[in-house]
Amino acid sequence: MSPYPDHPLVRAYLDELDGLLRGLGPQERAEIVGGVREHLDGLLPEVGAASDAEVRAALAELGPAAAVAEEAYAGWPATSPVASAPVVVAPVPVSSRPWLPWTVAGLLVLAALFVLGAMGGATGSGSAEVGPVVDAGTGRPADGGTVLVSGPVFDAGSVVATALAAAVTAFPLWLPLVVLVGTTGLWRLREKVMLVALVPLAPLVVAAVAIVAVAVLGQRAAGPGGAVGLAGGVLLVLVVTVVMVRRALRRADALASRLVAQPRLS
Amino acid sequence: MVPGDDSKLSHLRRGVLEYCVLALLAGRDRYGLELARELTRDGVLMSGEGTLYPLLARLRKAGWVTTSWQESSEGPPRRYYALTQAGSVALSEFRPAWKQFKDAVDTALATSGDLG
Repeated sequence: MSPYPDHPLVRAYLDELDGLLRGLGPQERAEIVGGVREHLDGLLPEVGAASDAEVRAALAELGPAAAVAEEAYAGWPATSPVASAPVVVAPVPVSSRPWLPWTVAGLLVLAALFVLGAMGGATGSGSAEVGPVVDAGTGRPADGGTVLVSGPVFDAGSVVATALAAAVTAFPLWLPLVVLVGTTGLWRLREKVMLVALVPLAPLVVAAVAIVAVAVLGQRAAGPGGAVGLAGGVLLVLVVTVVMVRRALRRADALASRLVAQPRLS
Repeated sequence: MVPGDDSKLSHLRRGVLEYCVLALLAGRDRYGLELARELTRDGVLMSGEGTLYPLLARLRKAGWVTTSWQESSEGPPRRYYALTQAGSVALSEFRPAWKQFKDAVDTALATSGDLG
């Protein structure tokens, strides 16, 4: 194609340039090397007749291959601030790394178990109180035993109070959770509010289910209602935890990979 | 030329040389070697001729110039560069900007007194 690849100096120059331009797109790379080759074709028109001195002079006028490559990587004016400015990589903040969602998940599950356990105990003892079947007509126990309770046995107020008390006892676990969730950048505000509210909210959900069950189905439903409420509370905590941790881990991963995805050409 | 001048000049050239190429192409289409000869004539605009080719590749990528092969009476066909409409617009926008820039630099230098 070109008469010059035969001259070792020209071949060495073009090979060096081609190698230095590896970081470019194939079209741009071929275009630049082709342009330089034609330039030499034009300067040294007679096949085989160019002396070493002529070739050296032509190559000297071109300048070092490294300088040509540097210009190629320097970029277009409109994009050069990005391409040529040193890439300042801010490290991912400690609070946005994967350990945080895992820790929050651990705290969340522990706190929820703690609170719901306390609730379970409360509703369990509540159902025990309801245990003796009371004859509605006489107000006396059907089995003739002592009347333990009269009137509404399942007291909504006390159930809510138990729920709140359970939430308060979880405070030592809840506090670090609030701090971690508050400082991280891995969750959005709405997600943070949900995570922080989950521990106080879960026992209230349990209580609400039990109260509704009793209101609709009567005293006998207090036990099963509490159990259903507990199961619902556990499920709620687990689902929210899994969803939130997965989101946070995905974001942490994206943050970390953005730092290595930045190409450095020159 | 004093050593060090070239690095100063290469900073000054950045963002300007492209428009010099566009201006050279505004009159007529030219091939690489021809452009290189024009630009290295005084050693100010360009030092190594090789740096022209990355610049031309960028101009083509930006759509400011196009290339076409034309037969040459002396040797193989040559790749000719031509100004596009977009390149013409870019050049016409650069002209007043450059005048403003040049005047501002001249004014700033003049206020410090003629020490050169």
